[in-house]
Amino acid sequence: MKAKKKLLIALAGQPNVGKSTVFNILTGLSQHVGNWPGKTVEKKEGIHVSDNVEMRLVDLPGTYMLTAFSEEEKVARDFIINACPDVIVLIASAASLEKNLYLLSELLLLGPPVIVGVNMVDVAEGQGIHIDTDALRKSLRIPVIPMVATKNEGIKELVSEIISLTNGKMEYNPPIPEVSEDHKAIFARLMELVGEHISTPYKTQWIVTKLMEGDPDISKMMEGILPLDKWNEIQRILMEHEDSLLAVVRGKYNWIKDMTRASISHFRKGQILLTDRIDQVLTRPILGIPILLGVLALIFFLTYKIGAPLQGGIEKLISSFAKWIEPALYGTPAWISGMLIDGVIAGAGSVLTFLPILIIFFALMVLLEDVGYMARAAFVMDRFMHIIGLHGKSFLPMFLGFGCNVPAVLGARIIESRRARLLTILLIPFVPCTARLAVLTFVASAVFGERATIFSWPIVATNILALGVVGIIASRFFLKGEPTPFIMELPLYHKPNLKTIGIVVWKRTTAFVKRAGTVILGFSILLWFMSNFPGRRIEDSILGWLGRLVEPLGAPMGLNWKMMLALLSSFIAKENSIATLGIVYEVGGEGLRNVLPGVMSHASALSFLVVMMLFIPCAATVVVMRQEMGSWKWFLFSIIIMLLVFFVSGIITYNLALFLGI
Amino acid sequence: MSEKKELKEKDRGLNKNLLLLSSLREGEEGTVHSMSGKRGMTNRLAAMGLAPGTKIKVLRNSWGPVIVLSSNTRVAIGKGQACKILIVRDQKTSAEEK
Repeated sequence: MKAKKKLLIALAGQPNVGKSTVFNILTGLSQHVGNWPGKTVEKKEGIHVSDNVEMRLVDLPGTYMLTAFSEEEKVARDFIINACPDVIVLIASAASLEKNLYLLSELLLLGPPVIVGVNMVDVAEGQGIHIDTDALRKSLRIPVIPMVATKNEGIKELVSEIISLTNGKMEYNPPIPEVSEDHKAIFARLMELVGEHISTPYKTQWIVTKLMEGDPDISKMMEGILPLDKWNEIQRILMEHEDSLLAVVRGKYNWIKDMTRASISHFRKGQILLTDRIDQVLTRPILGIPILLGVLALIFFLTYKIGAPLQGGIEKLISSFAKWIEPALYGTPAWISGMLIDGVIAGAGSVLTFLPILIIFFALMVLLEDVGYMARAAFVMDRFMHIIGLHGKSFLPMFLGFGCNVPAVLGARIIESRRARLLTILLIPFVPCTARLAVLTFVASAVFGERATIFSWPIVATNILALGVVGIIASRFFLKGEPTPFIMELPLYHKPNLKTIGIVVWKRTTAFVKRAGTVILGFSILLWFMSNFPGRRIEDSILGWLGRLVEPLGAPMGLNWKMMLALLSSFIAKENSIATLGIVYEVGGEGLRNVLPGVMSHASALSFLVVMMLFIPCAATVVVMRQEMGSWKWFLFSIIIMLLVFFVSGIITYNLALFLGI
Repeated sequence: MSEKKELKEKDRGLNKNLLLLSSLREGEEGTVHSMSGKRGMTNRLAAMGLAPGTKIKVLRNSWGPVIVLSSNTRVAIGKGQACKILIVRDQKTSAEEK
């Protein structure tokens, strides 16, 4: 048997070109998702085997270009420079080919051979745009393949082009973009100055282009490498020619024009696209805002209408599993069976009951994202987000927070500026997640009966208010600085791709289950030990001791030590507070729902709910917050803010409720 | 400094169709003249299909960001940034409206 040939392929492309569809087709279930080392950028890898060739595909983050201004772009270009893939596959959209070739103009300077997959030719034809890929191949002098990835067209051709290109059977000699005419002399001088100091894997032409663009990373690197006199001369030249960035941009645009002159033709002009027709309605403020609110309400309605019965079903399954396993544990020490049943199964198990709700919520969110609606939601919300020092993009991760705060914190990665990302992560815990909403519904309906909704809505509103107030204060006094401008592509609307949606939902769900199996499981066991040792009764345990320790803090909020304990245990997972209430009030067979009204005054219950909704988020969220913030300082700052907010709101609520005689 | 400013005003006086992107009305078309602001943004916009010399059409300019169609791509641009982009308005489109 012949040894397999191994290739490293980088998949590049601008956002909204169907790159992930291509990646999914090529790699299927072999994909592996992780993080780029030391970065909060997702890294997707997968294997594609064809004949005797094994291709390792690395899906680069979707970026418009390759500067050092965003983490994604840095990751993409560092990978190409350092790992030097055998082939870079650029997926471009036929509907906006010129813009897509901007990224190509950057890739060609880096060195590795590039293949262009012109995707969505069907969409382009529908808009009256025809791409002559043969003509494009002739002018670019690199392989160009027409594709319709959603219909699996062009994938095979792409793979065979990769193989024949790496076999060296093809001529590869593309024309490379130059700077505009008026700056050629400067470019040549800069080439001379840095030339002898550049070594592999860097290309001199690329370095000079980046210097002219004012790239901070490359400038710093060159300052370290070059002798002082040469660096000073470069500085002087670049100072004199402030417009050198524009010379690079103009050079690229001229190159794009040359390359596409013979290949793009518009055979139908002036037609109004479906996307523009829909946007006439959805981006008009008068209509767009109510529609957005309606869509959000519908998401919640569907999620709970379908999810709640399923959740009940899983609860039953888990409790019957606990009953079924109990006899098997006879003979083992009491602490083992106790830990397994009351710790592991009750703790981590109850988290799993949220799966149906989360899956439905995530699926609906990804569906809206996939068809192109979420960009419009961000657009419509932009004005409101300015109030809290952010812009429209931050709305997307925040809204995800209503499902679960963990993917919301991870979702903040789409925000380019570090300041805005920190602020978004800081505010996400104020968005009430499904688990907190579940506790709210349960306790409110137990204590307030029919009047539950009258009290629940203001409590949810309190969270949004707290988010707003913290946002206003934090953006004005702590995370100051000029907000980066809001710039966002509004992609074409298109039919949802079930495979893409399925893969995203699958990834988010498995990530959630993994966390339930690690962080939450660990904490559940710890909590069980703390509530059972040293004494068997909760009053005599470490937890009981802790509860009494924090009791004085609870008093101004109208919370006794039992409620304080329930609050503390919500740190492991929010819904734990219900289980804890059940244990500390020793409800036994009577049921918490019947016991609560007798032991909680209305004012205390109200205060408890407000505080529970605003308390530090669950352990899993806290862990990812620390990871994504990448700074202890801001992490501790956000914890302190949350402690302050929950404490002050608790005191206000309790006293207000007493004053109003609720 | 003041000389430069005068020059700019004169330039504008000569061409009353030289406008800020933020002051173009919906449906109006034009060509990007120049951009000010941070280099990163200029580069970014260029990569999204909006650079000096490209043709644009304003799709939405009311409450909120401006939506611009350029290189067959729809881009929402915050008002602040839209104030940093100069457009030469097409005579044709402004004439058509009259």
